[in-house]
Amino acid sequence: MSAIGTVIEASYSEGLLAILKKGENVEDYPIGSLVIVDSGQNKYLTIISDVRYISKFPSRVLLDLPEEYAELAISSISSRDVECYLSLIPISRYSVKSGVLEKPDTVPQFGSKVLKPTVEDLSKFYGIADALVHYPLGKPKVAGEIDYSVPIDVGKLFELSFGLYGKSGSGKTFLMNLLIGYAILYAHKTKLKLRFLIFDMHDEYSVYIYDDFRRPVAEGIANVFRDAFKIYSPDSENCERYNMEYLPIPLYDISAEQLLQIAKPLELPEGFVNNAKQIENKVRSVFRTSGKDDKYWMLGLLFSSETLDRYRYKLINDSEFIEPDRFSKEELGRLLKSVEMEISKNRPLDESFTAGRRRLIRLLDMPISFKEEYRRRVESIVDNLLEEDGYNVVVSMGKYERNEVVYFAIANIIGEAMRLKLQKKAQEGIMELPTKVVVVLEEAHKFLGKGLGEYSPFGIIAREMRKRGVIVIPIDQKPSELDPNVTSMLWTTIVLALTDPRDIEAATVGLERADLFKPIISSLRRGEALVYGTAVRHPVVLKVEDYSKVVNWLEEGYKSLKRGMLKQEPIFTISEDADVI
Amino acid sequence: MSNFIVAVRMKLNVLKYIQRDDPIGEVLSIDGNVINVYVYPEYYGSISINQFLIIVSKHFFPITVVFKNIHRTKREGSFAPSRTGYERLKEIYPDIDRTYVYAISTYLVGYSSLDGEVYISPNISPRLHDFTYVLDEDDTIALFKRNGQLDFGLLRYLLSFKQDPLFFRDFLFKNRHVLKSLSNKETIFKTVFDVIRSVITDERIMRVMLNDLVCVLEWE
Repeated sequence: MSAIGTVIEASYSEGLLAILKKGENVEDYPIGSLVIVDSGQNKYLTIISDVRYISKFPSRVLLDLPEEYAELAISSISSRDVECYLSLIPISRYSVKSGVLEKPDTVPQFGSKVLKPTVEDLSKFYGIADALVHYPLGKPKVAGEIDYSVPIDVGKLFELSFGLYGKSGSGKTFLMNLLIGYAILYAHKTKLKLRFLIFDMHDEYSVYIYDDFRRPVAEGIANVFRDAFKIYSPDSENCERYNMEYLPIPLYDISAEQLLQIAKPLELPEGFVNNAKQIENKVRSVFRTSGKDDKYWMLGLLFSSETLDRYRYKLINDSEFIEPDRFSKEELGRLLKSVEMEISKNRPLDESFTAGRRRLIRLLDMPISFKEEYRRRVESIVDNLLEEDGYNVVVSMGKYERNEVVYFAIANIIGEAMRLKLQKKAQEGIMELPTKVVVVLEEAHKFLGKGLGEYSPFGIIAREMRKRGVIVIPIDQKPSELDPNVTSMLWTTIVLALTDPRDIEAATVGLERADLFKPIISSLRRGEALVYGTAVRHPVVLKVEDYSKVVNWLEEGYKSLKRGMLKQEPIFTISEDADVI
Repeated sequence: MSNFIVAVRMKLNVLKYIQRDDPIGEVLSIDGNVINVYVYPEYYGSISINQFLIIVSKHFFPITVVFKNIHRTKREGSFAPSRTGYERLKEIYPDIDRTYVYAISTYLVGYSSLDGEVYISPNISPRLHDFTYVLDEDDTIALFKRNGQLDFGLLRYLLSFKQDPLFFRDFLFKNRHVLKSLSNKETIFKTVFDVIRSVITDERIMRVMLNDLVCVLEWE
């Protein structure tokens, strides 16, 4: 293959500078593309980090010329007076003599040839997909087309935590659906007990993935592998339409501490937060004194004497809110008066109580429940995830996709239940779990944000439960807002398009020579990703496989596995005609 | 004249110059690539700047381009105004031309061999008193083509010697018919453009030259 350029400058810390051969079009070499540098002794895999050209011709002289002559002059200039340069980052080296692949510790010599990579080159550096452990992640960015897909080691990806970053519309959900699909196939083939817990804000894992015009493009992965998933939703209409199980925010026997945890988006007043425990104790005491089950104490916070009439329908007509006839309107009215009287004895407490109530009343317009069964449902979700014969779980928000309170509350309730369960198991001496649990957390900064990561259930799980087989996958648009203690535990990072320099900075923590890669990230298009870490051999910019095209293959593969076919062999073969490879 | 000459005459018919008996002058002096030619009085006034000349030397035929006219008395400072004009003076003094010097300065741009092959390279010198002829317009085409391709090498030598935009403009104007007969205007422009930018570094001069080139190419 003929060279496209020559290396003329090199520095280990700053990368290589290559001059393009005359006749090569600089527009064919976008940043992020892979090229090979052949020094004769070694072949270096490099990524283009910058492209520029300089013209020594004083182009101002063309200003007065008629357009047709100016164009003729420009075509003449571009073929002779313009020098095009590529800045390259070497990321791996293959010794031609020994066949050894290693990290480069020096630079190629002056005059080394720059070449477009072949399938053989890329296979040497990145390996090939085998649909057992390595699955095709996407076509690497190269000049022109290439019939090769970079494989990702699904085992390593899900063994150790990874992060998925990208701004809205960059393709995160498409990619995550794809990775989950691969993981499920991988788990089946390797008999790994892998369980996903997915918090699905926009129903894109549980129902359909949509395009920008809300047209369904492909089924969500939980829909594809329907028998492997249990899907829950706080949206009762969703449950009916898509055969999901109803899961409202369970407030039965909730503690003040848990309430503060789940109601963070409500921005409860500081006074209330400080006195929450005391308020809980007082209200519970009133309920007990009145001969009522104090596990319903939150009713005393949500309702007031003034608002009871407005919301009485919930007591009477909403069978999911509370057991019928648990409290009549009059009974609750009396209880509320007792609570208010008790609280009012302490003026400061009364003020914070009232202030907290004003915010908490919003919960009455959300899917909440005082039925014990929904508290148990949360526990059974957690138990199911930790059982050998359990299921994957998706919590689909449905019409509450934009309701931060509902999303946050449900996720935290389940997270807290999981944390407590794991803690209990540890106390019982059960250190090894029968399943590996992967928590997929969208809008992760809400749970794992700076400062939050230390106290939130998912923060604790991410930090302390990894060795016990529970990992958290943060998916976020704003990685700069994630707790560094969490991001430092990520072994693989997948970065889609980002523009905020702070987010780019955060997304490249742990990437060697990150400064050279940063311009590449801001140039990524939708569906393109920079991937680095243990799950890929070397950093790579690629066009992610189109999930909507792969989903049929995933489905067929899963069905074949379930029928007991092809247990030991790959599901598909590498074929020129295949969409995937 | 047609816009394109399909069958290009690459060689000069140098024999016709040997056989001609109408030289316009003879080589007066040689200073590097500058060849001064003494012009016979009957031809003075008929030789213009940017005209191509051919010198019949012993084995070669140097080709030059006129860049300066000189006309003065033989003795410097001996000019006396007549108030009668040249024609009247000639009547009064029939041998008046003997007291004057008629000369042109030319720049050597190439030569032809005996078999008419043209070489654009000023590495050959004529002899003093070698006869000098005006190169026929038809023959100038051979100076600009080589192996069927446009070759403006002589322009490169000329511009290296004289980076004068007006001189260049004049050259284009004087030789426009020949230039336009060589190829289409786009190809001419590109070829001349390449020569200009390989020699001229002054932006102002380059700009003026390019504009003049376009002007001349657009003239009918």
